[in-house]
Amino acid sequence: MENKFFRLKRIKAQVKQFAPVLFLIAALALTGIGVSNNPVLIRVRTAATDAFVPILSVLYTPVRWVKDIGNSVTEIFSIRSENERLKEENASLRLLQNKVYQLSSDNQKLSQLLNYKPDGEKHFVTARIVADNGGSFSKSVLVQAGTVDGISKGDLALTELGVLGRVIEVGSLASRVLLITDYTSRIPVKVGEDGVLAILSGDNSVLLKLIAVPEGAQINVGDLVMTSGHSGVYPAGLSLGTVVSMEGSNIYVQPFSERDKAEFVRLVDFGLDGLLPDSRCREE
Amino acid sequence: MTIQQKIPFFRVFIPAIIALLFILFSVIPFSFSPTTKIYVPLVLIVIYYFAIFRPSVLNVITVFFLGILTDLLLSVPFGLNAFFFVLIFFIANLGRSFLLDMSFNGLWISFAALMFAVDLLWYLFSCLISGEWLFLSPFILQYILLVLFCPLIISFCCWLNIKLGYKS
Repeated sequence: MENKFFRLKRIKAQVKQFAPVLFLIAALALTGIGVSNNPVLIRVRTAATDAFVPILSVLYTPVRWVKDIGNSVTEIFSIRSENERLKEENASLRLLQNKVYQLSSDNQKLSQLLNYKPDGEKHFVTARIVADNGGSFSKSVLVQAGTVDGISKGDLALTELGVLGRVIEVGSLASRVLLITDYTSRIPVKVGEDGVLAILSGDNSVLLKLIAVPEGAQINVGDLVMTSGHSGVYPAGLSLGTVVSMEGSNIYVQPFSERDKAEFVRLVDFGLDGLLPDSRCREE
Repeated sequence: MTIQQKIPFFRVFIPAIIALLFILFSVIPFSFSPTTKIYVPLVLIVIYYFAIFRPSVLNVITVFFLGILTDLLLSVPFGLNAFFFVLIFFIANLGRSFLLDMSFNGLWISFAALMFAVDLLWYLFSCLISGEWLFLSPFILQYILLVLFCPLIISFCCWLNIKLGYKS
């Protein structure tokens, strides 16, 4: 009896000793499954984010207060120079405004001549960013809007400056937006006045990279990069950034929308059908 | 009056709750860096401390599930954070007898050395999963911030350990 007791105790001690190794193996095995983007795991992930979004939102409140106080203090010190800058900007915007009025009137006249029907109103939802994975591995954010708000997979996340990313997972209360800076992000684009077709790729850094650029294409620093609309995921004509440097064959683009300056995003459904359904993705 | 006397039962869960709060704080959109948000898993310091001083209250099972939860919230491959959380726990627990006698500075230096190896492994592992060489600077910044925050969080864990009055 006593022997049995000591044997059990010894086995228990051994299991306890090897438990971390067993959990290390389990974690490794899970990583193997996790990489394959198993639909069950995606469902578990969206359920977990749905459950934690209210908590994250509450936790973010004091952080937002601190941020607001910090911003207010910074604004007080820079108010004079900011005022000067805004005056200059206002003057140039007035000139642009006149141009816009003129172009708008021309556009209206030409549209009437061609009997052109403009696209209908786009459905959009404005949502707060409640979590940012700050990924050394991937770049995505969690926004507080889900299927109950009419969000669906493939909706684009825009800031006032340009495209931030697109919705890749949707829960009932929250959605995950894959940023254009993520290493898996690939967007068909047009570059510069010649409209050179290329692919804009993320690499987890703050800059984006142009790949698949045709040989001999004329691209210069300062060229505007816009979506070409070829994938059927991003509509044509959305501004993404400008070419900031060219080092050999590496062409770097500074995105207009910066994640750190965005607190809210506009999730827009452009009604495009370029995304493959999940079932077909798995098959392929 | 210690927390032990005030909340005798729940004190067992307090380290896990603290670790959970650290995880949630590391995913909210707040940046230590002026240019970009860097994920700083401060919870690793909590795991490191409790793996040395109180492995029975923050045990490997809790650490594993905290890692899984982090993976879910960060949308990284399932098991990635869990693996590194358990790895930190395992190594710190393995060298427990040696680390227990160390001074505060010794603990800090040991953590820095351990994290250097773990962060490097984390980078290589992430590159292997993604199939390409990832940008190294977020990993370096993550490491620097973790080492800088280590004394503060270890002091907090020490205070908590005394207040909770756990028995070895």
